[in-house]
Amino acid sequence: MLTMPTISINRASFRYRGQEGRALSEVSFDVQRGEFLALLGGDGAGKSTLCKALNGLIPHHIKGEFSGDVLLEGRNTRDLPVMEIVAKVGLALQDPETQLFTDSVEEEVAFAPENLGLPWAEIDYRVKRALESTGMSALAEKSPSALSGGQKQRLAIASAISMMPSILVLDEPLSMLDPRGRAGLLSLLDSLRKERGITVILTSNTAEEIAAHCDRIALLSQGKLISIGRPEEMLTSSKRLTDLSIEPPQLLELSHMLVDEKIIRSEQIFFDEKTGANRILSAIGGRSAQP
Amino acid sequence: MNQPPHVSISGLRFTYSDGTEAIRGVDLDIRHGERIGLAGENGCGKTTLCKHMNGLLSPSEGRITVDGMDASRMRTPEIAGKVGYLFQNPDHQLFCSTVYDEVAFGLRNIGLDDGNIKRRTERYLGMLGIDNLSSVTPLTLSLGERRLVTIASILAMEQELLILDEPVAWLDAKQTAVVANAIKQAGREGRTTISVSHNMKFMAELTDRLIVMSQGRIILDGNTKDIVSDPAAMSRAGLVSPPVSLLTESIKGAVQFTRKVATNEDFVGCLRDSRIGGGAHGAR
Repeated sequence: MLTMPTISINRASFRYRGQEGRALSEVSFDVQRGEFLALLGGDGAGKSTLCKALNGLIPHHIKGEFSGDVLLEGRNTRDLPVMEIVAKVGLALQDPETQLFTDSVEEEVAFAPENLGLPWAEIDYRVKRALESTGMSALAEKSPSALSGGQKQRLAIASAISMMPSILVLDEPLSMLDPRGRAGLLSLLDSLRKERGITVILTSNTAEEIAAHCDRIALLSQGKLISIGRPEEMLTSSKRLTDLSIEPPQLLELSHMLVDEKIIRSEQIFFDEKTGANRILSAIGGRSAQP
Repeated sequence: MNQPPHVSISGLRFTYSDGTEAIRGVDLDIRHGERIGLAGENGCGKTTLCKHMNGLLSPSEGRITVDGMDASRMRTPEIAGKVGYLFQNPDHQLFCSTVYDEVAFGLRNIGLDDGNIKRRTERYLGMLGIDNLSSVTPLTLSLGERRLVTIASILAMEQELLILDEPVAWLDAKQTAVVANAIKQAGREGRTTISVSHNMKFMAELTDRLIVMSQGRIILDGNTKDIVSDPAAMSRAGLVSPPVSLLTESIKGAVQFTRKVATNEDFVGCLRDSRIGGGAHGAR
């Protein structure tokens, strides 16, 4: 039996008011509950526009021409009240400064749950948990404006998590984070999915690090969906990724070089460390076994 | 040969008004023409340190000189003529109505004649691949494009010291390649570059010396490739080596690596060396 997809996007197109071209053009795909989908694309690929269409900013707030449908658990975002959408879909924007406005980190994270009218104890629990899981507890009293760029990004993510949404949409969340922050966020997403069955949509202009965590990758370019599939289906050619302005995984590029050097065969390309180690060792070991 | 350092920092400490001790004792000399990478976890003091080099912040204790002159005592036009500073967030430095004016703004301020302003503005818009955007309003551009505009305006000033705070964050692959080339070009022209980034692949390709900070102090300072290719040292500093260095570490028991591996080219070079040296590799 097929279950209803959590998100169903059907021929969604959007043109911002005053702009000539469409930022999003006839994009269609489904996302199942608990799935982690990475949206990869270069600048202007339509990733941020798609994020805004997922949490109702488009068409409810951002002016422009919208066509097609975005369904959340079967209900069209056009018909859903914004309050209902934001309770379902947590969004952290690309530039965290555009969403921070309170006087302290704690207040920032508490703002949205307070607006839901939750009991104080529940708000307190959610704020503590969101700050803890993003490594921000020690900064709870600080003013958001005094934070470093990476800390602001974590704060925006904590604010989205505090809503305990069933769908979490993170627009370029990795760009300003340090390596520990990136690893921490990706493992947090893993555990949110495991514990709460949360659905994750994350955008990035680099394929590095994400492949090991996501279920599927969608490649976007100039507002169009180019391809969607499992990481091993999408990450097969670093040239294809570079042509789409997506930074390929460093080890995918290395594996192409090893094919050119005739150290591995073209069907043995890899993009992760473990597979790479196995393939290189077996290539070398195999040759050594037949001197 | 005894040229004084381009930047000299001694006993630097800085505490923000809210009591945050951002810099807790930094001593550092940077020579002319060095290509420096500055790394460390979020909030470790990288940006605060950089803001001392262009006089935006004055030390709570200690001293910082640029070309032998006290940076905190130099007048703004004087230090602006010596130090180019790229803010982490492009929106903190964009304010003109067109991309062209944004890049030309600093050049007009230093009193260049129209011909030179035009020549330099066009050169750097072209170098960053945004010459087609010259009449567009910066604030209507994407974050990545806005980043390119700010980088063009800093490079156009042609100062001898360039401080670039997260120059490739938010950039896609094509934009990153363009910026990497522009920074390399600045290095070839003898300018000192300090790039702040978490992207170790970028650092390994673009910098020769890596300075790693933690909690307001410098904890590592050395050859970039030596540091990034050492996963254990990187991990102690809260950083992660590039994937190719991690792969090297995981197979070094079985494959002999004759040099440090910080880039894919290093890795392939090592395998070639070991083949020439009698090692046996090859696709069956």
